[in-house]
Amino acid sequence: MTTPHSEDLIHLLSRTALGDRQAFAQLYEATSRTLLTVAFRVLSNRDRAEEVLQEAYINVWHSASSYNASLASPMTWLINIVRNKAIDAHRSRATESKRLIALEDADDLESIPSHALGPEEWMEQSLTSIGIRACMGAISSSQRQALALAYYRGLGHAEIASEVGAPVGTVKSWVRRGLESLRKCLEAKKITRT
Amino acid sequence: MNYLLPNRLDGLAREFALGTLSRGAQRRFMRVVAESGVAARAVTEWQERLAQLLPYTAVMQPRPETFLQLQQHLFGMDAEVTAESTGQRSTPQLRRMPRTGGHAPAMDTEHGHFGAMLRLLAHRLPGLAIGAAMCMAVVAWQPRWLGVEPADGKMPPSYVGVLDDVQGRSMLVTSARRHGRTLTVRLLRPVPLVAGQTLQLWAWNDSTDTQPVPVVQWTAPGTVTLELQAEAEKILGRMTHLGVSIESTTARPATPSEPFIARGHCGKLW
Repeated sequence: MTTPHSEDLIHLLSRTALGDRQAFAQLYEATSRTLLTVAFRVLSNRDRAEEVLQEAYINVWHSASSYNASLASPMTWLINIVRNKAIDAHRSRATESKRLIALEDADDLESIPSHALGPEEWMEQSLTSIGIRACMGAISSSQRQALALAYYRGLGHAEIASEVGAPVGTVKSWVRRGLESLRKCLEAKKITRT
Repeated sequence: MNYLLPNRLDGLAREFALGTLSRGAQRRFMRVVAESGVAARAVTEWQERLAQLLPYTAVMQPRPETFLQLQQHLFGMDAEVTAESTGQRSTPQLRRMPRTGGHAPAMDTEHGHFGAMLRLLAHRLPGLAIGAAMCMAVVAWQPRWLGVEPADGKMPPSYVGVLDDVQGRSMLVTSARRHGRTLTVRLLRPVPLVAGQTLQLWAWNDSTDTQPVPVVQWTAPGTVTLELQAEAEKILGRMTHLGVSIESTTARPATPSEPFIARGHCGKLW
């Protein structure tokens, strides 16, 4: 997939803020695949991910004018909208005991060889693609796992603790250290923006 | 509590961006973010860092219905798109971006010439509804979305039909290459057929008031590719509308024997 160009997205967001439906359609075309993937990773359910995607773009249409290009890159802004909505949707269904990726849904993930890929593999894939895997190797696999579950699945500390069988305090510490390592590695690599 | 102390702010921003703050703490911190530019920036910096964890190599393709429903929710499927500033009619096609330096979205760069074609189409068919136009745009730019003619580097479909059911919901998409002898049909909604029934596609020209002529019959759900009796150009070249009726498999009626269950424009894109 071609990474959407930030300047183009800023232009489309500004046009969308003015009510330009064509720009909105272009914005959707340029970003919806990435954003659906974000939602799907949190929800592990195709139908719910598509619902969240729709809600997110409704939000984008109505609030594009609130986007501030000096504060965040457009993809970060969009990802944040979708991810927050997906986490809310996930938490509203917190009674679900277990979430599985249906085979048919997993087939929709292009370029992923197996439906067995999970948060840790996504994390490894990402760290490799941005060239900080070796740097992040300094933290333990538990720390990476906790960070991956929090980011990709939108799990809270207690949920992560339950999933990995560790005390909540330990999980908080893992997440904090994982994030600090991420910051240091990104800064060392001089990666600042999407 | 002073949330803006650097260490405290960074910790809260970090957890807020990750989504691990409790609901109460999240609400309180949101108020801080809304009132403090420093706090907002701290959150954004963490969001930017975390966004790096999303590789752009493994992505999912949204279903076409998602965008159509989005359009319906925001603009209404029956609403025609009118350029508010000029009063001129326009289509919601995805036009080429005016800037030249950046990377335009793939759809735009790969199929930019279709924007002009769809604009032409819109002028020829002034009554075209936004939903139909969007479907046509989807078919023209991303035929794979709807499972109709693959782009595969060859010429894209020339004849495209988007048919709505009686409630105005998109029900069927058709496409054919100009000189092709097949027509690809995709049912977007299931049609309950009983044994002995078939779907019959009809085409006609509204302006010349011709009677509908039969095009193809089929019964399979989903996407099917059907053989035409002649090149698409010969059958559809002068047609403006398409309709679908349910007919008996044993009869070959010359005109529809039942009311159309779906109808729409037959557009010639190029």
